[in-house]
Amino acid sequence: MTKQLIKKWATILIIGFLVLLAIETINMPGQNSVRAICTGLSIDYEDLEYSVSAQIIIPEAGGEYSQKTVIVNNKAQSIEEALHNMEFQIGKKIRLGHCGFIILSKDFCENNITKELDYFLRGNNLGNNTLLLYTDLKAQKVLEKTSNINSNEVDNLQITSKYNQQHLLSKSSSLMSFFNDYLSPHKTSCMPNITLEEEAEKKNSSNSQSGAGEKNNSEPTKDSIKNDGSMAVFVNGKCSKVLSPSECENFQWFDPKLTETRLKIENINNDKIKNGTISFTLSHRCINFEYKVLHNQPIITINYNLGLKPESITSESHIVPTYSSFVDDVVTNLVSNKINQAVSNALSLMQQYEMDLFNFYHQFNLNCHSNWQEYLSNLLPIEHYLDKIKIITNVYCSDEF
Amino acid sequence: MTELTSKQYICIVVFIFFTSKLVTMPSLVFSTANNDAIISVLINTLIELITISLCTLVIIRNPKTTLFDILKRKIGILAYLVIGLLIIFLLARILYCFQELYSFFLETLYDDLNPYIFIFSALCVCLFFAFKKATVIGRTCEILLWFILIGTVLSLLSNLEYASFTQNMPYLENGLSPTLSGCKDAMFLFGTPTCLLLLTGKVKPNHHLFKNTLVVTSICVVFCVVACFIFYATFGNSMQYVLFSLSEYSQYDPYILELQRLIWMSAVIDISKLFCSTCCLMYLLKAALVDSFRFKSLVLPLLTMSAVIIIVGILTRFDTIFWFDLTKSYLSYFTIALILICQIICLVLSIRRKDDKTIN
Amino acid sequence: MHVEDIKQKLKQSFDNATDLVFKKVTTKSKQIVVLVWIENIVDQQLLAQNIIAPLQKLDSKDCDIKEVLQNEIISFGKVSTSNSLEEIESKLLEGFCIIFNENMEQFIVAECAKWIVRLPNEPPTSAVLEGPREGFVEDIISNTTLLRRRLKTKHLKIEDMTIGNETNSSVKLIYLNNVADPKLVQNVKEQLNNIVIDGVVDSHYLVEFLTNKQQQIFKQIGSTEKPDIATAKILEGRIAILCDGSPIALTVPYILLEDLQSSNDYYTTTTRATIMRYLRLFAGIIAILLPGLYIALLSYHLKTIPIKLLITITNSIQGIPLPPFLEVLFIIFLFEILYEASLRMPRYVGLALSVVGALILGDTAVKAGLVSPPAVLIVAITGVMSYTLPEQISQISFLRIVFTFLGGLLGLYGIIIGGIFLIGYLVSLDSFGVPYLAPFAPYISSDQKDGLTRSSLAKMKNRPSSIPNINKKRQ
Repeated sequence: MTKQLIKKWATILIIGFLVLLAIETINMPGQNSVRAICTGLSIDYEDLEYSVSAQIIIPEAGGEYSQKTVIVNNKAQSIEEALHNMEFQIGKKIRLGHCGFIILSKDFCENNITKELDYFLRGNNLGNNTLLLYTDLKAQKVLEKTSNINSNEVDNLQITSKYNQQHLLSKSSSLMSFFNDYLSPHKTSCMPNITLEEEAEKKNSSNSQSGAGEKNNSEPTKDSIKNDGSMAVFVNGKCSKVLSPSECENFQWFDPKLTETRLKIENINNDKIKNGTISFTLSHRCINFEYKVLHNQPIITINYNLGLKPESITSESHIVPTYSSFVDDVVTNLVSNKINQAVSNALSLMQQYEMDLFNFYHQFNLNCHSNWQEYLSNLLPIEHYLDKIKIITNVYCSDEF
Repeated sequence: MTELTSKQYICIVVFIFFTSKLVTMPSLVFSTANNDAIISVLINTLIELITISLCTLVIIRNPKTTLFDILKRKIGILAYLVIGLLIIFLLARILYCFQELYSFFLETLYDDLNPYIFIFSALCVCLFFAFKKATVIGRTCEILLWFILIGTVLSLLSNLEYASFTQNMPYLENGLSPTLSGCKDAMFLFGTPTCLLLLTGKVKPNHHLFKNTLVVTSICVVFCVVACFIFYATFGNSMQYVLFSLSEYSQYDPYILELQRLIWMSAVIDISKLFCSTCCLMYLLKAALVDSFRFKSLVLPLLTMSAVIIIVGILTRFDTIFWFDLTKSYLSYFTIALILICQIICLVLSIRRKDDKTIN
Repeated sequence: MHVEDIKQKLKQSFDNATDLVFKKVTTKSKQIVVLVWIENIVDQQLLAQNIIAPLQKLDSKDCDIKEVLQNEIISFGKVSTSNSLEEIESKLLEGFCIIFNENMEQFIVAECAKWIVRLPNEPPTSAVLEGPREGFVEDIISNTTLLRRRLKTKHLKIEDMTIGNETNSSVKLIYLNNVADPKLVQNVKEQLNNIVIDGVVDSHYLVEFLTNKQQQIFKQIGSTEKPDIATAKILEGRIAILCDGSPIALTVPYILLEDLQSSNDYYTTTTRATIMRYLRLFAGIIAILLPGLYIALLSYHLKTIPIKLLITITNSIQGIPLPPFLEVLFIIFLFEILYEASLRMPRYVGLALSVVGALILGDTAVKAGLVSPPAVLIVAITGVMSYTLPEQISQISFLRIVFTFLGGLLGLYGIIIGGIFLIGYLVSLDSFGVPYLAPFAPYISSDQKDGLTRSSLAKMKNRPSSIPNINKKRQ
């Protein structure tokens, strides 16, 4: 009897609960009408205030795929405040769940940015994989350019950054990996540098290209996003150096993870080629590191095992057959010299700016712990640990067809 | 007599084992043990392995009598104390699971979720299982196990390329103390298998039960340690920003913008696993109440327990930091004591005696 | 035996029924024999040719008419004698002809029923591409014949019962007595015997008496319209229940897996069958969950939708007056009404209605901006997918509405708790002691050969253990 009564009351209670819930839900509008979907952010630092811009999608009735965005900007003492004010501005809650990238301006990056970015990691909104991008220009201007173009620029920025990572420097530039690097002993991280291709510049380039140029001329020319492969390196949370594309190329010799890189050798003089130039694709690329500390001198030995696949050959002599070996002592020497040059250039840059891009601290600590600690104990200040590092390279080349 | 089959028992063991393992445990251990966290995890899972083996031995030796009856026969009135401790532990564990679930929802899926609606509906499902027979929870675990296992393995493989396995080396740089304090702090999350003792008398053991449980639990230990290793290797020092390891891990890749949205899949898998484990714990709570206090009707005691859960849950507002602190301090000592008591009981009970007729 | 007396009694008990026929036949030796039958349910041609004509020619002076009738004249069907008026009344209703005269002490009861019988056509609910096309009909005798033809064994046991105070429907229990578990047979028999009802119009009337609990969402008794499926089930140790007047054979015990299996699976390659079973399972799950998931994602979890899809969806739902929850609910409601209406409408009108429903209603509603195209698409997809499990249509449609509510009220959290609750509910069910989700929960490894994956028949050496049987060996 009591059981039945309890059962009856439980049923009534659950049904009542559901009815109340249903009434509440029926009145609840779809999330898209109370939430603003933000696809990109930019942060500038002007006049001691943070100027935050958000790229927000405006839905267009009609059901066809078209992405219209609007840029909302606000200035405040902190990023969180700026975003909060922005919500008042547009009357919707800003959701960063779809935010694919954050563009950081040069002014902003002059200070330690981790304090400000910490907000994004703590909040439940933003994914930890959001890309961080650096720009020398005003970040808001770059963000505006991303929404000018009708195609999905979010993808383009992602795709170009991924290309950078595969072919230039295999360093992830997501929010989480930025913090991981910052919290590691080397405190060095990097992110792609985005610039704008100016209208005038574009016109020149389109004139110079005869074939595809015609097509470009018919369309109205606009400023557009440019990714030339330059990278901004952050040490201790501050931007310390923007590497030019050629400098970046020097760094690729430290990076065993890159899948496909190129190598151009000039002034080749051997029995086949006279005063020639060959561009190789390194289809096989095996790099080995050996770390040791000898007499308080950290030494890195890098062994390269490269498979060279010729892409283009210009030679003053007769035409070279496709299937013939190119690698001989002369070429190997030239390659070795080139790599040596690149490595030493890169190392001196690293030493100059104290940027341990390839985590040498950790590697030494792992491979020769006691010697490394001893070396560090003799060092003052400890941040200059890169100064005494010496690099020895051994290059072995082979043909690859 | 409704009895769990050996397979169902093993499934329940797996669910109980993985209750919080891939959710908050890695970050909890990392917060004290830092780079040595993986060693702490290894030590704790091995302790858990021992507990599970001992519990299984007791269950095999006593297929007909419940834990309370055995304890009453051996230690008299003290049996109430042991059962009481287990009930308190279970209540705390269920509350921790609810807190974990709630903050998980807020972290991954919801912008806001009413805690009253959450706790009410979650308790409804848990109570459904508590009122049913043991076979219902056993069979549910049996069905869900495969989905969850496959989902977890796929999630773990999704971002393996970003893991750098030497990242946390060298280990034990600062001696053993961080490891040991990591072990201690997370003990509350590793003490759950002690409650398996409450299944004594509800399992129909077959000849290979002990061997199978040992093998499956060992696989679980390896799986858990490998998963933690992958998390630590991927997140490195930024692990301190990570609360829910598996779901954060599955969205680590910055480039697959479209696929990353499948985070909800890993979230659903995590949540289902946690939910099912909570249902198991709720069933064990009911078993503890029924076996020891012999209630005629289950409604009142279970509703009282639910009320306790709701009140404590709402009072603490399912606050992660509060629960983390509690876990690291009082609850860890309590769990260590409980594990010791249970292991001693298990050792005593599993010793084969000549006059013991219940030996199968 | 007084002829007029009996005639009056019969007329009285049949309340002067107009189709009760009394025919007096005078033999050659001027003896009068009375024949009684109910018009339309007996074969009158058979009566005229094989009983009345020989009787008229019979010279019955020296012989006993009863002996002659029983042993010589009536050379077809069952012949018996009876002296109870009640018995002959029920025999009359079953299509027997009663013969008597003044001198006889007992009635002669001769079977000459002729029921209107449909040909065993292919049933519309379970058509196969390659495989037997016969289906059960409403006549229980024909149905028994169809099963007998497939199971030519002395072990085939057919037990007769009569259920229904008014309809007196004949019910047959069919099983292999060397395979089926005697306890199960006894259990089913007891449950059938306990049924007290005025009439059994169709075998589905029995279903509700055979299930334990009254309010069931999931069906716990199998039903089939095809003799080949019934035969296969009997061979696995199940019991088939045939009911007169119904073309549906019931089979017990029943497990959920049976609906994922189709008779087609056994008439095609094993790989194909396995793929189809997984597809059916997948389609079933999608059919239940999709509208709920759609609403949950759109109302609570926008951030989990990929950006491109999100843009498409937000563009299409822009300007729709209803929130997503009500919108989907409205379309599901419309869909269910169309389904019900198309079932009830005459066939040709139904065809027109489905065109009207699909094209005009959907298209116009979208164009008028009342509903969004994704919502229509979602409900249409679930509608199509649910037909991969035709036996479970009603359950799927019920669960779809439940999950739509859960998704709308609580989001993904609601769907997760709904899912776990559903699994918990399903595993707690059983049909005649067999767990509903066997052989998955409890997991029975030997039964996996014909579980979701189907291995070749040559490998299925044993009968499934999930169905109780006394003879495991199959080959």
